[in-house]
Amino acid sequence: MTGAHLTLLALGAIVGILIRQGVIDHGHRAARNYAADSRVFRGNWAKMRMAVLALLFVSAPVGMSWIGVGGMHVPHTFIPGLPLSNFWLQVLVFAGIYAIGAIGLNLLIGFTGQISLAQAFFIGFGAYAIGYFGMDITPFGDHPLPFPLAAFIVVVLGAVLSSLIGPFALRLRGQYLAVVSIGLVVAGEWLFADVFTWITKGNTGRPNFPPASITIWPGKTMTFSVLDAPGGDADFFGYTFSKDAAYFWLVWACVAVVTLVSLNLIRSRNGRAMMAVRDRDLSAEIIGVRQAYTKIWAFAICGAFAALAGVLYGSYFSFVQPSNFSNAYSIQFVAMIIVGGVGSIRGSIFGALAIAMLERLIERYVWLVDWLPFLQTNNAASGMTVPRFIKVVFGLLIILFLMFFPLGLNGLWERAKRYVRTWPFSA
Amino acid sequence: MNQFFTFVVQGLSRGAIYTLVALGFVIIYKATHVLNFGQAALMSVGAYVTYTVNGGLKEQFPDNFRPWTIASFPWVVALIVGVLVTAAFGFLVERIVLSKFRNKPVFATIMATFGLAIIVQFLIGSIWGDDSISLKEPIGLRYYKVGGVSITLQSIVTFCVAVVVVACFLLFFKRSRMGTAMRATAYDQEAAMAQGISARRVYGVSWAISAGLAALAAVLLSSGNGSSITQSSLQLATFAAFPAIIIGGVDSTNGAIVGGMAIGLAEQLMFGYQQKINNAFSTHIFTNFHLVFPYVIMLIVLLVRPYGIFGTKEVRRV
Repeated sequence: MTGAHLTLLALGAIVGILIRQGVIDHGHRAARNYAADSRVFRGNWAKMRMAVLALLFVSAPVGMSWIGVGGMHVPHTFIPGLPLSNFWLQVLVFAGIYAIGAIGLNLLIGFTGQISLAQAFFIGFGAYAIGYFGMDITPFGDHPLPFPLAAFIVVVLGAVLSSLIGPFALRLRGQYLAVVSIGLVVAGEWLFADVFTWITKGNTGRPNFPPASITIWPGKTMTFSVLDAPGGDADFFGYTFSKDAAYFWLVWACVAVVTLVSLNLIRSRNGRAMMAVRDRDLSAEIIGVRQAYTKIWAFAICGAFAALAGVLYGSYFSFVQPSNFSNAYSIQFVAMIIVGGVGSIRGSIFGALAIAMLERLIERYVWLVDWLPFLQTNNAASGMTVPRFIKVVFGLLIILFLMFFPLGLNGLWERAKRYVRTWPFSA
Repeated sequence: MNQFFTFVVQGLSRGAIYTLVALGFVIIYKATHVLNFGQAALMSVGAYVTYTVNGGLKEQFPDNFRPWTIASFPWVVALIVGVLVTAAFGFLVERIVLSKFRNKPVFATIMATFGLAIIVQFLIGSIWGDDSISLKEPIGLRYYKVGGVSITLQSIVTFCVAVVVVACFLLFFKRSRMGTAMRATAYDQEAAMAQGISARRVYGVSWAISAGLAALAAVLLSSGNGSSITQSSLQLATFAAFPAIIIGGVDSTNGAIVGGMAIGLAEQLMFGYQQKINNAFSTHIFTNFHLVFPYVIMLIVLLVRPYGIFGTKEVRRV
């Protein structure tokens, strides 16, 4: 036995004693009081995990050379320590936008039990509204509203608009509500294409969107889409980054905020009320949960998150068409929460990552599926082309997850965790 | 006034198609208590199989020799084959996929029908392409003038076929052994099973009938009027049939008929007059309003009667 082994043993013993004495809280213990049960980060490990995630968040676009790990830029790689290529950053921006919408939808479907297929409409609303409030109108002089203010207005309006469905949810339940929400998407496509044409520019699509920008201090504004150019707006304390890198930070910071809000929400009085309404709304009402208030609240939260996703969508893509927000888009969000896990915030993020990666990875790394004899890699009018193949895989994912993994990726994650925790007694 | 009646005739034939689709929804709902959101996919299967048997692929791919591209049968034969094949397809889908969702939550089953619809839709796209197809049908653009009102042959055929088929179905549903078994299962599944009725068979037959009706509706929709058809136009038809079933009540066959006809009439009248409404209010927003109008009617009906006009009120216990 060498010195290194002894050192490790000693360290293990110290950690064991510390955990035993309750100095290090591993968070796996059952909560002993309500305050412990409603904590967001259970145990110090959870805090450490958050720290690691924060490190990854900061260093994903720039690599870890700033803390002395990794170094030169290698395109299209996924090696820890090296900066992500723009392709991966784009995938993650997609995934982050999806994640915000999916968390909102999961709060509504997974935690309140209201089947809504109207997510596409609210994301479309957010996208067009940021174009309108961030660019078209100039209420104070000749400058458009600052981006954060415009985004805030859009998010609040999204919540208000979505809470207007609440009253319908009080009278209708289950599948009736699903049909009404499909109707909302149909109506939304009409509103975008034929009614609000001075904002949406009809079916041709709206090309003008404000780039995300944040005033750091008066006179110093950071604009996220022109970070490539050195000097001026681009200059962030002497560094310049690509648009994808900047949006990666913006979008995932929003995901973090949304996640934190949601985690706190489901541990609060309102969140518990939501779950009570999901499990049996009549019983919940009898024990004193206000059904109407809870449902409207859930719709409002879902609408706010969807509008935020729409804001990021519009400002990132800078081009939006009514046909982007069809029923298929709604179903994509429902697929995310099914794949990730219905009734789990972490699952929504997993699902968003999975769906975003599925799309872009098959598109890009066609050779991964090239051995399939029926697949055509050209853009023929008929035949199993790559875009169609992605959709078929997508449909299969929905059905297979529903059949075999009803708890989604989050369920698999929890199972793996339980296996490790109870080892060697795990089944 | 003549114009009005022309729109009414069109609305009746459109309503007949929606009735067929809505009846399909209702049959599946009565058996399994789940709406089949993939009805559009079943319609597509019907339309494209009919198109193939009708000899459509022969013209689409003249130099691509495949056994199934040589066949070219008359429209009526193709229609019957299409309906039967789609019915078999519906039966198989129920047996293979949806039977696994018997005791799962409603949400899971609904999403499974969505997933199926996506798979079928893009498989069809990969076989037949996304371009519009048109059947070689004998109806064409012929129309008759009756006292100034022009009535297309298509609307006559559609309406008559739908009336006959719906009447046959109702007779089957109310009188036959299988129909009685279906109604018994819808009323109380456990009690029906205790009487020796095979619920499994009822589910399968319900899906088959529903798929057959969807196929018939799709073929009628794509015949006559020189109409060509794409998968998205079939999807639009199901989007209009949703309000129809909700208005009538999802578990009522009579409701499907009333709702389907009402929606068809309302949609065609709105389609006919929306330009005039636009001009009257000197606006442009009523363009394409006929797509949304069924849902507006649905909302109004739902606010008055949350379970539709003929729907049974759900009894809720704590």
